[in-house]
Amino acid sequence: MSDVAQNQFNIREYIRENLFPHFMCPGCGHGIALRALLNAVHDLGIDKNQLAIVSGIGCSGRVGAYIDANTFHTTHGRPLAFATGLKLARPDLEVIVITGDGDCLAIGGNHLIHACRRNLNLTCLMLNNEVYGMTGGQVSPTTSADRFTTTTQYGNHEPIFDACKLAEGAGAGFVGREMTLQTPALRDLIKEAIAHDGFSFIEVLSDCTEIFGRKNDMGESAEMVLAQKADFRSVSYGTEIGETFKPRGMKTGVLLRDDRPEYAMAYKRHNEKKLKQ
Amino acid sequence: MSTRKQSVPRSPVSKPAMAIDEHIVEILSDSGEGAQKCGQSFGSIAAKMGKGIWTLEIIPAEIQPPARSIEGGSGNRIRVAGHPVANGGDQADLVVAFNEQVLLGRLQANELKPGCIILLEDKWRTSPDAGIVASYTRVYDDLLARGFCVYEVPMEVECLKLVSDPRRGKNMFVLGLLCSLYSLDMQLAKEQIQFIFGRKGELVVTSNNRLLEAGWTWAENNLDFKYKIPTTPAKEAHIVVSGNIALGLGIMASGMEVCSMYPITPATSVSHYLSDVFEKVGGVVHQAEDEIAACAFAIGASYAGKCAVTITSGPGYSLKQECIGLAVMTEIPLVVIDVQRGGPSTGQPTKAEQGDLMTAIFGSHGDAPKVVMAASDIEDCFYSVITARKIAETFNTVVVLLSDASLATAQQPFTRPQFSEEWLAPPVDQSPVHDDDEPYDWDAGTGQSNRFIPGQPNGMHTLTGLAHDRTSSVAYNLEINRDAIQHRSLKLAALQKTLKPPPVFGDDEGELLVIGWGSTKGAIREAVDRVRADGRSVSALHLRFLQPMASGIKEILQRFDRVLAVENNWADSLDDAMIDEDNRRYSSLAWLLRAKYLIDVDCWGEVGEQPIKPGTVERIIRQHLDREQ
Repeated sequence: MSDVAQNQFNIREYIRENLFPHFMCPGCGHGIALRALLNAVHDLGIDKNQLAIVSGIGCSGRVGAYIDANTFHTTHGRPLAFATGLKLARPDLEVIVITGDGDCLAIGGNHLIHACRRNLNLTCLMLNNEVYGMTGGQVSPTTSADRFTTTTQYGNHEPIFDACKLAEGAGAGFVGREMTLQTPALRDLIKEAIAHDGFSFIEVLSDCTEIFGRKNDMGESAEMVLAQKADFRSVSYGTEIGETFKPRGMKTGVLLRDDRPEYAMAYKRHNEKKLKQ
Repeated sequence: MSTRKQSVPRSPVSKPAMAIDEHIVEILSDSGEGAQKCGQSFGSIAAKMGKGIWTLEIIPAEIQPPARSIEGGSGNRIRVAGHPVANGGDQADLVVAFNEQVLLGRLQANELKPGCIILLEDKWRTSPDAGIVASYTRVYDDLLARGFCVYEVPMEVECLKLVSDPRRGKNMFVLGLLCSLYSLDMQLAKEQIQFIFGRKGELVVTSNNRLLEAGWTWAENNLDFKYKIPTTPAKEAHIVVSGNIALGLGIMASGMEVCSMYPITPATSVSHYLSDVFEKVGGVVHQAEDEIAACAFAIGASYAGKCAVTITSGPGYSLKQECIGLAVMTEIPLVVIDVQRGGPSTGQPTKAEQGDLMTAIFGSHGDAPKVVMAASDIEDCFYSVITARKIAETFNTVVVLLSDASLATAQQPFTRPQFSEEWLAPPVDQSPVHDDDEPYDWDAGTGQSNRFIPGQPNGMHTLTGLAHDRTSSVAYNLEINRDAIQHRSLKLAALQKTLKPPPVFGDDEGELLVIGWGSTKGAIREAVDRVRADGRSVSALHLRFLQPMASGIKEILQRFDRVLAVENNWADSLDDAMIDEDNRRYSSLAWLLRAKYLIDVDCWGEVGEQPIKPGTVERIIRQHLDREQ
């Protein structure tokens, strides 16, 4: 029994309590995503000293600093580019990138598609809250149609990115999506993503209650995540549930798993062969 | 098929070689006809014999410009001398042209010495295209009328005797011709051919050797002149490389392990070279998805404990600014090499300009102190990288090393560097971090702090671009932010204390001091030498460190009546009716010196296509000396 107790996940071992109170708003889904990530790290037995968290700018970018590991809070949109250098220089480290919808899909979109293409062994967690929260609620590439933001005062008219389809199309080795409401499923998805040898992309459907929810009259956090639950369906349901029940047409769970060669190993093998010739 | 000015064949021995001190030779062709390879080879052979050389590429703006066009000329200028030379010189003494149009480009740019020798491919005279024949004869007659000494050479005819496609062989025929004209060692020429074509197999080598010999024989039999430039065989081994290859060699010698880049002219050829050799010494060249990612990649690798460099040119350097700010803020060592080109914007990618000095010093945002150095010649490209890496790691700071297009492709021999352990980076400290050690334990005197590497026991911390305190926690307090800014600034002051004043070239005091930085050193010194030969009082000072500047510079400036900055960047001229002291925009270094030392530094800047010439600087110096104060 004592062994089990020792192995039980205790979040205090993984966070920097001295930085509390944290900056996140009440109802924000990012904290749940953080907990799920740390739980996955714990379950996989990753040494904190060998863990590097690279984050960008925005609410998602600030999350990394609360993790008691080697954390690098970089520039807006570029965490994947920094992480690529870090991982190639030190393949022994477990490198996880935390980014947001604006960080990853707008200003950093180029780095995302190239990270997917290379298939370097990184895990990328994109916390999607449909809005630029930190800068005051501007429209993002994932803001749903007709939603109000501070830069779409008459409702958003731009189409959105399906981040997972983008990652799949660009060649990521592992793609998945989960909402914060399904915390155990999210934790397990992250575990699979980290364990996958190649570039793993996870879209976490978070929620921004204070900035986005209020502007759109979406209620409190509980109402927002329940609305999310109604919108998304796990891939495990297959096609049994009709269109009426999945209005957004987006699926959660593991969406793609491809064992094509991981970048660093492929690079090493290729060059060793060429140098021998 | 006739050669109009064919001399009577005679025995080679009967042709005495005229002794000359130096010559400037240009080889010009359409893009793709190999004039550059010919020129570089000619330079290498001369250098190996112990002559001083400086080669400059003449590069068309487009990859595949139209054939026989004035703007499409591609080629090489080689200055060969009996003494070391450090610039491309003034006007050409002898030009070999594969067609008359490429020659016109150089004529219009005033690059040919009046009355110089021109060796012109004669096949155009008998072209089936009447327009070409007309153009050729018009230019030919015009050249004669203007006093040039034109020899027509049947390059095509002679090459066709040996190969089916003379476009792919004429350059080695010309190399042989030049070897004869300048009494170069044919054995070295054959070794050069083996070096260039060895990879392509024996057949190609043999064919090119034949072309080489044919060129030599043709010149011996048909040209009635020949030169000999004195040779001083080197006592120690030398290498002949371009500035960009010297940078690549320097990157390897400095112990750096990561070079990240995104394709941009004229910086990219560094990565071409590294891509071939870096891997063999355990390095990695990473071509990123964009300039920003290239800089981020280098910072990521440096954070991980490697030494990293990112290399770029002007527009790419602009894109890297935000990341450079992050490296300054987080105190991650980083070397950024900017091989400058003509700007702004896309500007003139293949042309020389020293336009990025201000961006290098003041770039990024907020107070982002970084070290800025400039390489002044080819050899300096090599050693500067080693110094840059050392400073970056000693002070955990960003070091920007400036080179430019005129050094990038220019070649010059220098003593083969003897590898020294001191060049390499010391291993990164991986010992456990003490509990009371903090990531930003700024030293009150020098501003220096720690560098904890991921995986180093007890070294876990957050690295953030946000203002932070000594524990690297986000600073909400103005005092803490001020403390951090002060200590990052202090690092430059500490470095400055270690920099010796640069030596004055010429007398330590006098009428005029010409001050410069970067690639203009050779031209400025030669100009100063020429004016000093007339007994005039002029000296030169060349800065290697632009930020921080070495101590003692103000005292040097004060010892001269007047100071003139000479740079390859824009300076408003007071001769312009619209310009006065009030609205004048000074050249970059002049701005800095005036602001820093409160000395009335005058300036002259040129934004031309070619590197600044010694003759131009000489003229400017004389004007300033003769001008009433």
